[in-house]
Amino acid sequence: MALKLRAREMLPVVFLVLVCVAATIKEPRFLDPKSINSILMWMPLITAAAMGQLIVIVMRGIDISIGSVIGFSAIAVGMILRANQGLPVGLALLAGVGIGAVLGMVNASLITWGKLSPIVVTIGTLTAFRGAAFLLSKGEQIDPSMIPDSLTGLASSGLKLGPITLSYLLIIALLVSGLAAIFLRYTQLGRDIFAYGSNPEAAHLRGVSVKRITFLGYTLCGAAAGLTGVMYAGRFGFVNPGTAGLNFELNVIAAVAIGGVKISGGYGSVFGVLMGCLLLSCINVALSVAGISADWQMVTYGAIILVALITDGVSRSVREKRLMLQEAQ
Amino acid sequence: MSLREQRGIVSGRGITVSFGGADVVRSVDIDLFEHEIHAIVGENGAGKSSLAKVIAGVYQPRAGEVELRGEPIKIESPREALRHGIALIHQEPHTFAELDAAENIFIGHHPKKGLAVSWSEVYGKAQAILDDLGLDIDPRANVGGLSVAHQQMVELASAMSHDASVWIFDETTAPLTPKEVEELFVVMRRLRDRGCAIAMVTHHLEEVFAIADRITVLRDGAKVAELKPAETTPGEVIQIMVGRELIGERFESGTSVGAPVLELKELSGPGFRDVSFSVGAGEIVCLAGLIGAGRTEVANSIFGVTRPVGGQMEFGGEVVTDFSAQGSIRRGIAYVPEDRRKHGVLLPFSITFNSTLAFLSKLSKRGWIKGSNLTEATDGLSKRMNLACRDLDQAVGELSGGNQQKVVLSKWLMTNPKLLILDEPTRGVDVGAKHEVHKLIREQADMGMAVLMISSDLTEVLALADRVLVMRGGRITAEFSGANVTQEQIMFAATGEGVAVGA
Amino acid sequence: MKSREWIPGMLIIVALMGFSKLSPSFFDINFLLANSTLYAEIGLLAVGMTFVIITGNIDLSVGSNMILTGCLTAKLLESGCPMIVAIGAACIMGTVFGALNGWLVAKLELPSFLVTLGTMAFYRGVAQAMLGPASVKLPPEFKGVDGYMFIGLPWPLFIFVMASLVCGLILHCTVFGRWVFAVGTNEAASRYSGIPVDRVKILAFAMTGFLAGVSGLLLDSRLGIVRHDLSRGIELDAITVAVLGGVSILGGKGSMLGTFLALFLIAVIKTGMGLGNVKAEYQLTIIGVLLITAALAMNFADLMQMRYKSKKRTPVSPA
Repeated sequence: MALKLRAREMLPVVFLVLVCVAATIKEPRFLDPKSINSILMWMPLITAAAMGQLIVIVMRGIDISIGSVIGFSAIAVGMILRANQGLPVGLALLAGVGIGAVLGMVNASLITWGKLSPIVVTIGTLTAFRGAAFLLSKGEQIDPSMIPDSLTGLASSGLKLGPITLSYLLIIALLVSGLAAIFLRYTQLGRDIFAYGSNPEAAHLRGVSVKRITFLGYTLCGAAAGLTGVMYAGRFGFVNPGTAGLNFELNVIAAVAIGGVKISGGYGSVFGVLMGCLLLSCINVALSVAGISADWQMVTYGAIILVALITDGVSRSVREKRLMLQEAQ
Repeated sequence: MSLREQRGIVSGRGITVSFGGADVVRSVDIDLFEHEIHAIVGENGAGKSSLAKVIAGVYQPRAGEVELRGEPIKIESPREALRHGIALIHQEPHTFAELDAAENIFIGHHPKKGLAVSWSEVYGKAQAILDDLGLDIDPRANVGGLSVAHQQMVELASAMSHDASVWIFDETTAPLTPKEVEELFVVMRRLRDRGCAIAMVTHHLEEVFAIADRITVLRDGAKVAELKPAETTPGEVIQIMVGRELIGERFESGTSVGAPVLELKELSGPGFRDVSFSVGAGEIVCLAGLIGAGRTEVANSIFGVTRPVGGQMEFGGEVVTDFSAQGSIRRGIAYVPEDRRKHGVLLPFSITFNSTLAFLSKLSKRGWIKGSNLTEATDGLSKRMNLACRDLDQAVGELSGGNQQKVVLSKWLMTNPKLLILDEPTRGVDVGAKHEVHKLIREQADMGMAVLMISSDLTEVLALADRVLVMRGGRITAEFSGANVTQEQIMFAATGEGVAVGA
Repeated sequence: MKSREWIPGMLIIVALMGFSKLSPSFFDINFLLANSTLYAEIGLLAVGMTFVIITGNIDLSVGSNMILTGCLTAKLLESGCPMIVAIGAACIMGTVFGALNGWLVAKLELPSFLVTLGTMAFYRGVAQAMLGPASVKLPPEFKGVDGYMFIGLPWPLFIFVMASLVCGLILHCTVFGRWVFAVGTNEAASRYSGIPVDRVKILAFAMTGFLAGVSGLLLDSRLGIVRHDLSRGIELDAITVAVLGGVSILGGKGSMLGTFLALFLIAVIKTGMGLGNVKAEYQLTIIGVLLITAALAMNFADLMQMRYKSKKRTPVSPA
């Protein structure tokens, strides 16, 4: 795969370097294996979910409901595990994917056939799915004792490279990224998604089935979030229907936006989004290493989304002005 | 040979196309032959594009049929046309700006190995097609960064990847520079020499005579001649194009021209350069020219929708520095835009809502609207214009084109402007309403309004103009007095044939 | 009254009838007033949302704006700032936060749902960064606005009624109101008619911000204590009210009367759910489902109306 590094992908990389340098100057412990491990621990969930959001945003959509899809899938799989203690981890992960895909299809159907705007639909399902998680669990938390060690082991063990641990969760997230990259780059549907995001009318003229890719896109986004839900249960060892995945959509959209994905559709890369996720993880760990409280997280996400948007808006208007002047010459 | 002479690989028999009840193409026969470039010419609105789009599957004919190699076929969509090997190349290319050239060529049918897209093949085949066409375009270049000409070429290459054998170029040369046109012609000749049948729709006669093997002339939707370029001259073609008797009456000016209201001094902007002219009070100045000559762009800049980049504009003797639509309305400029549905009216809202939209601040007291004021103001104007409607609360979307245009005119006349700019004021308007609109424009001028009218309808220009300015390639190339000018003179100047009278 | 407003109007009656089986107090006006008061904040946000959605945009940050102004005002009051100054400051802050959204949307031509998603996180995040997990108590003289009555209405409800009346007049009887509809229907045509499109958008967002500031004050006073994590998801309620009231998410369509009626519909439904012991989390779900159903119903209503008016339109003429 030819890796074309464009200016858009450079933005998160530049930020990444800045954050790392600043954090290291402020607190040299930032480069300790311990904090690097926590960065790598932070990354998997957001990365797995971001790959789904990447697909949706490339085709000019958005899915705000993923935080609740994560919550629902975590609860549902937690309950399955509670009932069948011996269930293999692989099956649990697959169950998460399936559950997420079904929830994604709810969004997809409303958007594709209900002809509703994705914002309205996914704001609605954001709360509807959260409530469904409560309904399913009767408001009860899935306790740590109910989550099998094999699942929590995905977070606590992994490949060791000296003092650095690449957890199995991270490996799963990277596998998902790989699959997303292959899907987007090497399948007809993947390319159709780019074509549609780039120019919907032209895509229609060329025979791209708009309904099919819309449906597929939101379903995949749900599936990725469903998988993330199971990973969440593994990482934290318990699931609370009220907090699992809460506000996760903000992290993910921040990562995708700063990762160089074009908000107006048609452009985005797995590499950029990975960099965006890494950046977010570094910022979080840097904040805690520097002794800044977790209360600053939310404002950071907001700021990152806004910075990404404003950079996009300013660069576009500069480009348009230049084009207009050129044309007049 | 004689058989081939009678029937092309694609032919249209008795093609009739209607929009809103009016026939824009009337029972036209056309044949596209192998090894031949067939130019379809005519004035703006003669129906050439509509005819071409029937063959390309964009429009469905009301009557008549398309035959492919002697077999009648029904082409429901451009995609289906492409399946039959018929490709349409647009004036504005339909490309994917974020994707590279190779991918633009293969969207919808990427070469694959098994289920996976084979990128080596995508780039390899794209390069082969581009080389084959003799194009110097990097298949990995982002199409958003290419010139319009190269974007067209990418679209052309895309059709090539479908093995098209019939090509329809619909005003493809309009946005191109002369050098780019030359490059396009090289490609077109290459396609012809390979045995393709090519149709080109254009107004530019010098292009027709440079490349075409056969010319079909349309006038008012009907085919009036089929010629060979070797056996005719541009002058003759123009005469056939405009050759109708003048049906419209002329609305003579009933007043003398007053002081200049608008004065442009070497104004340049997006799409036009060094445009200088003035419009006096009580005068109707017409901007004639072909589509894409830069006339609408001049109007947009005068009104402040786009910003000029050089030169000077004076209004009422004062130099204008703040170009904005709001400023223009304050100064007393009104602008009836060309695309009524996009820029002129708000379709779901009422006649009153639309008519008062530009004058709301004046009809209200400190921002508060008084309903009766609006109705009164609208009522007066709609009576004067003979607006046919159920009542003034009727949604504009339910009115006919002519009545919609009257609503747009009401909106602007209400502001009592000093300068009225009209861009194609009677496009899509029926004959009766057209006459009323013309009468109204002359009345306004006689009351001292300066009028700048852009029109591609030559009878309209001749009916109203006190002065005619002809634009070509973003510049003013000729000026005539409205009373003595002929359609031929205007067409000669607009197409660049013959001698231009100094600007 | 257009078809879109009939829907919430009729649903109120249906809901009242249904819930009256749960408790006869549903026909007690005092009970209804006291309960509706709880929804005055949602109502104010929905009134602002009506403007923003009619311009063809959306504001997801209203709840965060409300909390941030609420927290900032509480801090001001805590530091001994006079009440009247604090109230003025809250209104100004809310307006500025709203106008910032509008500026980003209008001048940088960014999609409003992303801009306001960003400011939603940012505004609430500022409140969280400032206060942490702590809560701020309001001085006693500032508390309990909902306990006071004015011409028979509890103050918050009175403020909501006045706000919808004034904003209804602005939307339907002023030049600005017409511009709001015009911009939401066809931005290009609005520009060609000399409407200051950018200013209209910024003003609509600023008004929404102002109303969010006022809601922040009401929240402060009603609860007597603020934290950064209060009223989560209130933007959803506000959007639901607007959509239920017939405001089209595509812009250009809607009325203040519809929003006004829909607020009472939501109030009745939420009160009914409270009486029926429906847990808060499920209530949220029901609202989410209601939003989607309302949007589907409005689409359907439009479709029916088009069928009804199936007089042949003039086909689009060739370009």
